[in-house]
Amino acid sequence: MNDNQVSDETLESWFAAAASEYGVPADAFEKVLSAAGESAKPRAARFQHPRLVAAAVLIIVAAGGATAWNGVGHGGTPATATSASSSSSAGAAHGAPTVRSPGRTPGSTTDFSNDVAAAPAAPPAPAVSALPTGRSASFTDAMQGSAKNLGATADSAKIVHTGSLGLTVAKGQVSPVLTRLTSLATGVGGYVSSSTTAESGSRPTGTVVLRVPAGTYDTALTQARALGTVNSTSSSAKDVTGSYTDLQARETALKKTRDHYLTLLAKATTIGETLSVQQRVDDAQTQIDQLQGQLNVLGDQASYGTLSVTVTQKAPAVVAAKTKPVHHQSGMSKAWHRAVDGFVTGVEALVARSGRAVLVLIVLVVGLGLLRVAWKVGRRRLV
Amino acid sequence: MDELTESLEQWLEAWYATAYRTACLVLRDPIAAEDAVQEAFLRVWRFRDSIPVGDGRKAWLYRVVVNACMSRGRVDGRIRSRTTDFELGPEPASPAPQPDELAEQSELSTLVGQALADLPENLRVPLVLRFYAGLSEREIATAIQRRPGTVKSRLHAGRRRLALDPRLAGWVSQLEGAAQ
Repeated sequence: MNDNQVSDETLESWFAAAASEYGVPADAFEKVLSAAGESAKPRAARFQHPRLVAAAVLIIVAAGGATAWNGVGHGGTPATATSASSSSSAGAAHGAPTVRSPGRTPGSTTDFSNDVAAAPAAPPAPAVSALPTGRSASFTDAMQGSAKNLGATADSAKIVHTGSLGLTVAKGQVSPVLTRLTSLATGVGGYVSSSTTAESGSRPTGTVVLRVPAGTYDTALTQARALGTVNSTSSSAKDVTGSYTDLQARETALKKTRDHYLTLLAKATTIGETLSVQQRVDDAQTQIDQLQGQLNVLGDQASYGTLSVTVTQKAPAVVAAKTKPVHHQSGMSKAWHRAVDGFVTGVEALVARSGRAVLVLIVLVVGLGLLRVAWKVGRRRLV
Repeated sequence: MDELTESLEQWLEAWYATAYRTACLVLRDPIAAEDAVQEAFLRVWRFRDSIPVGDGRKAWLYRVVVNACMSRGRVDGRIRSRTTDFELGPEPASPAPQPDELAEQSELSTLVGQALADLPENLRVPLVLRFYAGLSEREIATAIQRRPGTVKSRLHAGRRRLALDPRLAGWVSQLEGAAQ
């Protein structure tokens, strides 16, 4: 058989037959007219000026690049590693800075690694005192006010608390501290999800992952800090209320769809129809089960905070390094060492400057990518 | 109802049924097709000022429909190829076909649907636009934003694939014999 044997008329009749399988939905016109009435002009104006969008993207990228450049150019790492989401409105209402106490604000992450090595453990108010020192009283008051307001909405919010804590303890105290951490978790209604111990050289270490009820997370963190010298800590709280609600809505919709298919299944008269609808029912049920599983996991994460505590034995006192003996070097030897030093210094300078160059390159690539996307979106909206 | 909405309603009456079935043949999913065509008509309405006049209007409309279908296909992750979609809407009444004719037509439509589903998207779209929507090769070129030569070669390849499809072999000889 070749293609000449299928005439245009035959193909047209075939496609007409295939298309006749699809009945036009009775309410299609109403849906389109309704959507057209709702979308209307404000939405049309949104992407009518793709060049303006592209220019805005360019400005944002340029501002980001300039900020990054300044950050690198001043050779500064930020004085604190605290970062917080600016989306929460509670702090703004009180005129507070966007920095919040760790473990309380949804979407915030705080990391004080190595900043607290010299600080004494067990402060009376850990959520506030864990912040970098030197803050004014008004700032602390504002933060506490924000925390209270957040507490009002905390009941309905799904917030996942996670954190890690590094403790150093005296010799022979690793195992007792691990036991006390286990007791701590069970004491506040939680449990230990995993526990590992290891001994490297003469320094044993152990890690326990505590799951504690979300309401007692801060208490547990405070008590855990009191068990040794804190050498690193990080804590984060992520608001997953949106994801949880979305999953619930999808589950509800899928259940309705499944019920609808079950109704159709009852009306099916042929084997083909039955199999077809049954397949749909199975698909919907599978998706419902998956969503239910995700909801369970998310609910568990929100109900129980996760705190990973690593306990390390204190290192023995380091013996002071011996002073390098002075060698009497010849002129050629000194010149050679100076050359080596110069070479190393040059390579270090190159490596140091390459970081800035790579950053600028990344910003440029991202900017160009965004421009390209904006241009494509603008062009697509024209048809 | 204002003038613009009336205009959209006229467009719907004139084009919706064909556009919807075209989208169904391309996407093989009535629900996705309905969403895609709704989106296409909303775009048409939104950019009604740039609608060309004359013969180019049809090609322009189908360009929007095809774009909406491709976007929908990308959103869904794939263009579905199931051939056992359950009938969700009533079939427009035609002059009372006999039961055996109905059975034959149903079998043919199923086989054609399967054959279309097995075709790659770049062949299926031109074929549907040509032999269902009735677009010329030049109009298809406008609709899918390819050169007329490309459209011609894709139509040729698609027809050849359908002609070689063993499921449709009996129907070719039957229909061609009846025509002669």
